[in-house]
Amino acid sequence: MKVLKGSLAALALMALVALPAFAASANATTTVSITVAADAKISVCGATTTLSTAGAFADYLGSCVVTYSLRTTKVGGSGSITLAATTNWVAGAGGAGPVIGTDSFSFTTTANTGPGTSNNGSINAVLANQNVITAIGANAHANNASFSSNFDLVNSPSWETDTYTVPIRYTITSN
Amino acid sequence: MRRVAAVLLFVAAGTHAARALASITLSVSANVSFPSANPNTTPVINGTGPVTATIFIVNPQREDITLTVQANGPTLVSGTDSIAIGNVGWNVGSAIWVHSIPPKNMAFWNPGNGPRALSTSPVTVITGNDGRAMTNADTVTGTVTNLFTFQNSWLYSTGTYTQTILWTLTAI
Repeated sequence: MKVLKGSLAALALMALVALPAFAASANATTTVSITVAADAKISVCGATTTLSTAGAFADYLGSCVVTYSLRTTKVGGSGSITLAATTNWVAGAGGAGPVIGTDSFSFTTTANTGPGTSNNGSINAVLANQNVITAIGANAHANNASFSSNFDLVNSPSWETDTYTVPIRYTITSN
Repeated sequence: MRRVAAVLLFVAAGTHAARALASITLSVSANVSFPSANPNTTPVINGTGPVTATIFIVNPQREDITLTVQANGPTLVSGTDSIAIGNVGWNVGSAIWVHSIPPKNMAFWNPGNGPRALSTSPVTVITGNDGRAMTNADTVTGTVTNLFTFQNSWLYSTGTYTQTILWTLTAI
């Protein structure tokens, strides 16, 4: 019994002097680096914009909403959007119809929600790039901005009946 | 009384040999970077490589292991421009332990947290246990692979942005 009492005392002592929980720690560092550069993207309303006439040789009219995003370099950056007809008018069934540079085919730009200056006057769509939006300055940002290209093809009684198409290429630059 | 002394001696010796690990070290990948990308085509940019945290423990004794991560500032900084650190996210890709020799108890990892956004507050990446060594010289190496992402945007100004993140390992 005496021995038992002593053991209990020892256990009690163990509880009193129990070591604190061990804890260790270590640290390390990682550097996160992100490069953000000038960039741009543009998309047009669809594969085809149809121009239609009210008859009596009224002009063929049609619009296309163009959406774009861009960021230009913070210092010294710039950007622009142009368009050009990439070929002449092509007849679906061999008809004789409008000709780029001969027949009046123009466009205006309206409702630009992004940066820069939109060229709202009527500009002939020809085989060389024509300004749509210019003067996009440094550190400009657009996130799904948009504008409308409004096309106007002057009608002519001399054209043969047919369906005519012309591809229009938009170019956006950002630097 | 002699018996009591023997009990005390036994307890003291057992505590000294088995209570605690001998050493613990943590090393991590020095850098993680994100290349520039078009936000329309790449709305979320993956880091150029994983960030690997390597934990080396001598004489593991079943300590509970916790790895946390936090940013050292609220933003990524490029001159006067900044991007909120919350646009950087991380996720645990994999976690393994390798013992130098078969242990008394195997180490294990619990499922890793994530995906989460970085913040200036420490967030637990993963917890686990380092197992129990057979001898004082035994080691265990833990490897936690972390995958980082960055939320892209057209609204960021051009530049190179940096911030450091702090990894903290505790063993209790």
